[in-house]
Amino acid sequence: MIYIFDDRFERREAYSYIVKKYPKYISFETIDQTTIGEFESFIAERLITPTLFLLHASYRFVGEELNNTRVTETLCSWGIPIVHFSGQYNQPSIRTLGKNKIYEVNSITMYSNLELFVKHIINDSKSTIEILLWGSDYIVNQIVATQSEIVRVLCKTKLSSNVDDHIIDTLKAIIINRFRNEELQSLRKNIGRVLDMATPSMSIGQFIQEIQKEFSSYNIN
Amino acid sequence: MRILFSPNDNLISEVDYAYWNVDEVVIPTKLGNYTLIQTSEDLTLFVPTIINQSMALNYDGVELAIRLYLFCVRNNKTNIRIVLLGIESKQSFLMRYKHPNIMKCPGVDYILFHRDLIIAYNKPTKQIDLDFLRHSLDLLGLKLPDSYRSNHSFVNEWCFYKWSEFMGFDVSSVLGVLQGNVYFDYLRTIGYGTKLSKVSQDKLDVIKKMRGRVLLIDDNPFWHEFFNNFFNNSEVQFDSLGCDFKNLKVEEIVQKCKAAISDFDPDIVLLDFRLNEDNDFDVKKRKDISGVKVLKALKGDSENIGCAFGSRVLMFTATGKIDHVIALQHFGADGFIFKENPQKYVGKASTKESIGKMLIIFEEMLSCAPIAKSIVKSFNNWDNCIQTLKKNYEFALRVSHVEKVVRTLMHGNFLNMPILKLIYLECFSILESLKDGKEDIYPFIDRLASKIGLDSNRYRLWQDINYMRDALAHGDDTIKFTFNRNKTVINESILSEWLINLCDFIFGILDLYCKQN
Repeated sequence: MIYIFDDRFERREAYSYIVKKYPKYISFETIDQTTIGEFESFIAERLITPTLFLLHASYRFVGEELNNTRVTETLCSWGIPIVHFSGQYNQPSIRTLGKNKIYEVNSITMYSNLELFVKHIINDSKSTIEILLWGSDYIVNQIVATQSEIVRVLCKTKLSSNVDDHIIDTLKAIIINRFRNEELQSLRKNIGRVLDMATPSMSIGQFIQEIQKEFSSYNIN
Repeated sequence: MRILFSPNDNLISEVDYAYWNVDEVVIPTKLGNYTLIQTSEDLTLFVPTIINQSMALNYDGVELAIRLYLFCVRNNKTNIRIVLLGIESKQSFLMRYKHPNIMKCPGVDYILFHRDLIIAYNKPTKQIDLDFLRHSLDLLGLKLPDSYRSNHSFVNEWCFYKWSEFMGFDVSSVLGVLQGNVYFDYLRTIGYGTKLSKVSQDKLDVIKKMRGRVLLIDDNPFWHEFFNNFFNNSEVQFDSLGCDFKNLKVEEIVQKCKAAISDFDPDIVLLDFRLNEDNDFDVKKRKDISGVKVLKALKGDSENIGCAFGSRVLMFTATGKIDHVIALQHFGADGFIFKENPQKYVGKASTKESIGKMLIIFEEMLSCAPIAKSIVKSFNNWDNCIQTLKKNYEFALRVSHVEKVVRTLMHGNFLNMPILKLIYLECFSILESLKDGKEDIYPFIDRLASKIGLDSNRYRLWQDINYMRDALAHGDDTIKFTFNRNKTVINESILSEWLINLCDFIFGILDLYCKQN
């Protein structure tokens, strides 16, 4: 069962048709407890075989004891994937909270992909969470979005100037949380290789060409 | 003039125009009505292929570029150049993007999204032939949305826009929705909406003279607005329901429709084919589509009539599938009003033709609905009478048989002269069945009149009813009534009037007969 904790009731109303259509797979829940203890009891008693938690990143909790971090940590203890959604996220990403991975996605993107994600779960119980984050074409979407991000990092740096550590580190930070799917491991490896082999003697123009070559050769394959 | 569209303020700020060697930096969300590009100067627009990275594959920047291109064509601006700022090689972009022919449009170019390349870009604009520009838009391959649900929604909105523009109604409510769709922009640009003719005064006069009751059952609120405006200056009483159907199950929708029919007693029901998108696009069998279920409940069949058997039910649909149309006729639809579909456009007269046909069908249906409803009402009255007779009484069986035959004739048929004639003769046979043996009907009614106390007025009425029967049976076109020495032409209006007289007369006979027995 997928549990969605969204405090925006108008938004819940707008997407309630998905929950009505798949009541055995999704449910909206409200967090109105005031203490962590109460919240833990609520989860233990009310939630049935959770498989995924979707939490509004800016959820307004009642009382002062509950906040995003504490609620997320509590949910993490279940060992189930957690997705934070918010209008402030531009594109999907992953961050870590201790040993746990927290996925982050834009609210509109999440809800837009939700029905498709549930349909995949119904047809194939091992459906990947990337569908929720990136849509049906999650492989290509990740590739294109990553290319776009890389280009934006480099778009203001003169083509003739040289690659520096700051640029390499910025790009590594982008790549590290991407391409987690098995299908994209080779691309991740190849991009990583380009980043590792980049030296200050290489111009930005050359560097862009090397990166584009890796992305293009992946497409052809 | 050089304008750069920025994906966001953090990356390229509006104040950075000099840094990027352009005259303006524009954030797309602040673009407004494109007044910025309504300049006579040569125009070069730098547009990133991707603006919203979370939905990168949508290439929303290219869609913006297409809309800018369409806007320029609509405003006869031909000295433009659109430079797409890509994140990949041109080959890769052409493989991924759904409309690669954009690169064949004159004045469109592609470079990598980089400051150095934008600064260095200096290809001049040149005047492009407007007809060539319009023709190249067809090369783009823009078309209706792929999914059936989005497709259906767009067709409704497009039709509403076209018809409202034609009728001179306010279209601001739908424009806000349609302007989010690049295909709509394309249709407007190639002329399917910019130079529409307007409704003529004689058509408005036809609407003004209409009278009756029309009920619209449709889940799309635009159509409620349209028909409210449409019948506003007429004698038609209009009501509508369906805006809340999205949240209802099909069975609940059927009950709501039945209740509305019972309260409003419409002459015409305008019934949408798909009343609940969530249900209808997932069903596999046509009989489970919400509009079909409602139609069956409203019309029923000759054995078990529905609550709106007498009303004329017109299917109001965008469906182009002939098997749907045949099936709906079989289930009792009395007619169809087809919504315009941009894919089936056959010339600029299409809206004028559609509205013209709609007016004709409204006139016809409003004229025959009263007779249909009267017949149904008469049958109800007869049924109340014959229930007092013994069940195995032959006469009761005869009346039931006639009702069934007449309902079969009425089911899904337009009540024209041939049908009305058949109904008249069939109903008259009820009187004939009252007599014994081969006795002529006239003296039989004479004897019946004295036996059951038929009053003089009703007796005179009977004479004319019999004259009408004779005229129809002999195929005459005219009749001489007892009250009018001149020959009267038997047209649909006269025949309808006398059919009602016949039904009332039969009821009178039945009533007296049953009281005597």
